[in-house]
Amino acid sequence: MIEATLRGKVPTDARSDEDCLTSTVWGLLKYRPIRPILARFVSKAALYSDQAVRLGEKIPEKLLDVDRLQVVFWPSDPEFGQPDILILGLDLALVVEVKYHAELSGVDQLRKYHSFLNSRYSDKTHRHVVYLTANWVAPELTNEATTGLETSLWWLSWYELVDAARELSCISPAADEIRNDLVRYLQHLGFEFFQGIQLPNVEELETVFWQDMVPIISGYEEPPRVNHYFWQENKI
Amino acid sequence: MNEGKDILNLVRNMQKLNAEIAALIKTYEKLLVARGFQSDGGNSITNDLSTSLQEPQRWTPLWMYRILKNKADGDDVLILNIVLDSPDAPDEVQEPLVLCARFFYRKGQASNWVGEWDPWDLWFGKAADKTGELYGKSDLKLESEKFCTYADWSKECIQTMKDIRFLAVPLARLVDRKALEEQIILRIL
Repeated sequence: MIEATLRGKVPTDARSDEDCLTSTVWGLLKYRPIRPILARFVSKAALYSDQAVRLGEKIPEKLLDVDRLQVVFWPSDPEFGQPDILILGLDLALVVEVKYHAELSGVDQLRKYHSFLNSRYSDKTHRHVVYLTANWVAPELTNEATTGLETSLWWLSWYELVDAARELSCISPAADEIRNDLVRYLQHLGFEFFQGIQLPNVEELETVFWQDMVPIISGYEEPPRVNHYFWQENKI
Repeated sequence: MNEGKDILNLVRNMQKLNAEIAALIKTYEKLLVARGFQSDGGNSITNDLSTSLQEPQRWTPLWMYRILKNKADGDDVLILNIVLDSPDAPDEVQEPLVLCARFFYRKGQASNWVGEWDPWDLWFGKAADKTGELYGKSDLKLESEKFCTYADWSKECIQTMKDIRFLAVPLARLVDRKALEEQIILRIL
């Protein structure tokens, strides 16, 4: 989907589709050579109840060992529904509930997924729900949505992914190519924090258009003026 | 052909600049939310545009704003204005600017008096000298005839403010996130 998106080939209704975004991005992050980006990205999740606390500080680094991570897409559970992403690792079970333009599908959605982890992965010590959204600051959630999740609900922004990808030094030549595509895609979607004001590519601008409010387009030739008269034949 | 390409490049560079400004505003907000502020509004960042054939100078957004309030004190308000140009005063704009002002209102007054273009008024009303440095209220010439005429700030409005901090920084100087933090965030707080 990356190239199709970048070249404007994706149908309008699919451009803002949450599942397409999930599949495109996480479909890359799941691969072993790219998982260091996944681990770093997830580590940046902020505890909802105290956003100064990051997930990476609360779980031992070895739990995000990229050789042991498994990414499961849309695991379906008859009792608890279908979270978007399930990440399993050594003594770790993370649900990532992905949002793009939509909000939670129910006030209890995140609590339900926490119950899913507690019920199905009770053998894992570290069980957390990560709420991934397109906001640059944490969206408001009602107390009803977060009650009981004070130490297990985390918020993560799509904007953090470009930073996570860039912060890693060379992973491998092949992985770097994929990383570059991922970053291009996220930039295209506007998921990037400020990188500075870049000067326009002046080499592209072969000419200057306006100087002192006078158009000076190079090579521009004023079209010949034609004197228009109304009712010319009648000499009016 | 070249002229057509030039026009296309100009338009695309404008879109790129808009995307960079959006990233700037989002990052500014993120950094300030971490310091106890919160947005006071939705996603709208501009106004006073026109779709009229008679007002082409107002078709393109050339000014943007963002208002944040201190979570612990709603009378402590930060307003960011981006000035790309001012068709009404082209000679006053030498280059695009970021204007940032922090207003400390008297208790309960902010909600009555906050205006999204207040930093713009300070700058173009010549209440602040154009040196790009940080000013306290004592340096702002709020009572000057020039300012009062331009900004239409009443004495009553001015008296609701305990203090104002103001700064102006050329947009092009914000070359990375660190520059944004050092030249805007840390200086206005």
